[in-house]
Amino acid sequence: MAQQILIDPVTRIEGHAKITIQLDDAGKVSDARFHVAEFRGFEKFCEGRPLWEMPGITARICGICPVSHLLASAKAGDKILAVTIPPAANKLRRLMNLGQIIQSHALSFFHLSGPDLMLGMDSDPAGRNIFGLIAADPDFARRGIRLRQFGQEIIELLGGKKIHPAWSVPGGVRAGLAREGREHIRSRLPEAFETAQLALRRFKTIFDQFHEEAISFGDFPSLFMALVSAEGNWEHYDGNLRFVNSDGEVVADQVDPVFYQQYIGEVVQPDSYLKSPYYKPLGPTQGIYRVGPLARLNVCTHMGVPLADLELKEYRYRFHGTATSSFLYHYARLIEILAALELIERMIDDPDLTSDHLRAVAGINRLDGVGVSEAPRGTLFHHYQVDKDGLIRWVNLIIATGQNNLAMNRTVAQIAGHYIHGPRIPEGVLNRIEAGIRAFDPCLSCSTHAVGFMPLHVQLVAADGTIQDEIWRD
Amino acid sequence: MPDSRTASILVIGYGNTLRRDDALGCMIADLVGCWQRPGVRSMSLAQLTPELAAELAAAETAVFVDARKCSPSSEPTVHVEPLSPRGEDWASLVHALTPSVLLGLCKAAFGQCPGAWQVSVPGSDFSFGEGLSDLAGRAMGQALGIIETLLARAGSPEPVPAPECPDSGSPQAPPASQDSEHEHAHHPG
Repeated sequence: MAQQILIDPVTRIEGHAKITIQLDDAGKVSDARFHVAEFRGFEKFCEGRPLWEMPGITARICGICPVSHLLASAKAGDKILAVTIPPAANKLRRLMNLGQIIQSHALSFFHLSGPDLMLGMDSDPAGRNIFGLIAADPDFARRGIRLRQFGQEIIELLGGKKIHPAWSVPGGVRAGLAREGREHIRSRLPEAFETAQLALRRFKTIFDQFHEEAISFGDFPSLFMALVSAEGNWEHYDGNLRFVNSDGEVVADQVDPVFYQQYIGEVVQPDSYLKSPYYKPLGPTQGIYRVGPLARLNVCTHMGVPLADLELKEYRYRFHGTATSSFLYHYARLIEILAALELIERMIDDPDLTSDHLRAVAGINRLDGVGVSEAPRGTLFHHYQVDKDGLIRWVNLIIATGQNNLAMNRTVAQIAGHYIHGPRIPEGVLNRIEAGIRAFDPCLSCSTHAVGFMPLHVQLVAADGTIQDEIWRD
Repeated sequence: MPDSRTASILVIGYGNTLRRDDALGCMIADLVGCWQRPGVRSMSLAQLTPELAAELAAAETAVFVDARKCSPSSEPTVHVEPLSPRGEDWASLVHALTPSVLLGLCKAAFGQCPGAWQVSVPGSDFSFGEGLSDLAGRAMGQALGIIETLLARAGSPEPVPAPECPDSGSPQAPPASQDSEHEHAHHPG
């Protein structure tokens, strides 16, 4: 008798989603889906708004990733103005994006996934949270809080506030970095480095305890996509797209993001507001690709900074080149924090950061513009079409979480298939399914524009509607 | 520049500035910032996030200011209540926290948290847009007066009652263990 397992909602992610797991007559997992049931629809209601407002409007998509939208939107605006922004604006945008990567990755690792990783997937759910983590290792938890604070401070120092700063605009940025701000960032770097390196050491120490998770949390061949520099190195703000496969072979390289539609197709599933992009040349079935930290590390030739490059070397040695398990998003995130800190250290004394030449002024010179940057969760596309007065006529947003949608479905199916055998849900499995999703650190506010705070309800439902098993978590 | 090391009093206003009266907390925090009181730092935020625990750990007093949903015909009564840290109801970490859970996180992580007050300012219009309703506009002045008194008394060596608020009927000296959690109209993001 075919059955269905429902996890609704998924916890410790940003947004509201549910998971269904379909069992066949033999009680084996036949399918799994990650559904996003809320909708905010920025693509539609931005139509008619002035181009100049778009960074401020789209930054409101999310309270966690506003900087990512701010930058991608401003870059789309740069294209429509047809300007090259001043070097200072370019560097300042980069600095803010590095702060964004640090704060977002710190939140994901220390706050959202830290309880699973440090306390164990099977630990008491009542204590499997940040308070449990603090009780177990207060110094580590404290460091995590302060590392996120550091990233948020960089954003606030540049943008005036840490959430929804209306700072980056078409043509450049509104303000530079004050000298005091630069001193503050410099003063906090040593502790941030210590924390990042401590977290890396800690993760490597505990990694062997998660062998089962590493082989079942979305470990499958797929393509990976990210921006790379002209030299093929890790990139977070500019550059061109590179696709590689699970053997590390470059499938497409130095693709100008303007031509993304030749490489990325999108399908919509009837049961989810999350779009499912795929690599167009291979079609929706074979064209599954992943974005975000795991992809960026698989795609780049080098990190381009010494400490992170050493870590990348070890990472590749451990996982034989291309890392295919989605569990390794956590590891990749920590290496990226280290890289971000090195890049900040490298640029913090650049005199351009305090320049007052921050913005190129121009009118509407093109009617179409694509802005792309690397959000913490993966490559972010903002594509606008405007009329001659700069009013928005059409918007397409391709968000990291959406690009990982097909991979998340497959991850859920793999975890369920690995751990569920029969009509009962074994203890600890539910958390593993959620943790598999959490590894991607999905942001549903960004991808569908939803927010939520939710308990957990899981049902095992037979084909005739009979509830076979049910678990609530308030 | 965010420098919590020199601020012994934090005034944290939060809400969505594009949801009319939900902007009350942010507007009040911005006005308090204009006072430029030594040792006082005001923060205008969309939502309360975990890293604020590090800022709170360095403060002696915190005042959280948020909008409270009321009917348009309500009296413009500002509520002031003491807050206590709590963490036992922490079901799962989300990105936006309540003041009490944030204080609980602060205490758990840093071993201390400031004495804290919640100032709840009535509003009636939480629709999309900017600009305050009549109710919120009338309440804002009262809230600023209360916060001014709270700031003046924050440095007092003895615990003292909060300032009197017309019709609020609430404030007493902040007991260390009293829980106080509000249901506030709040629209993050």
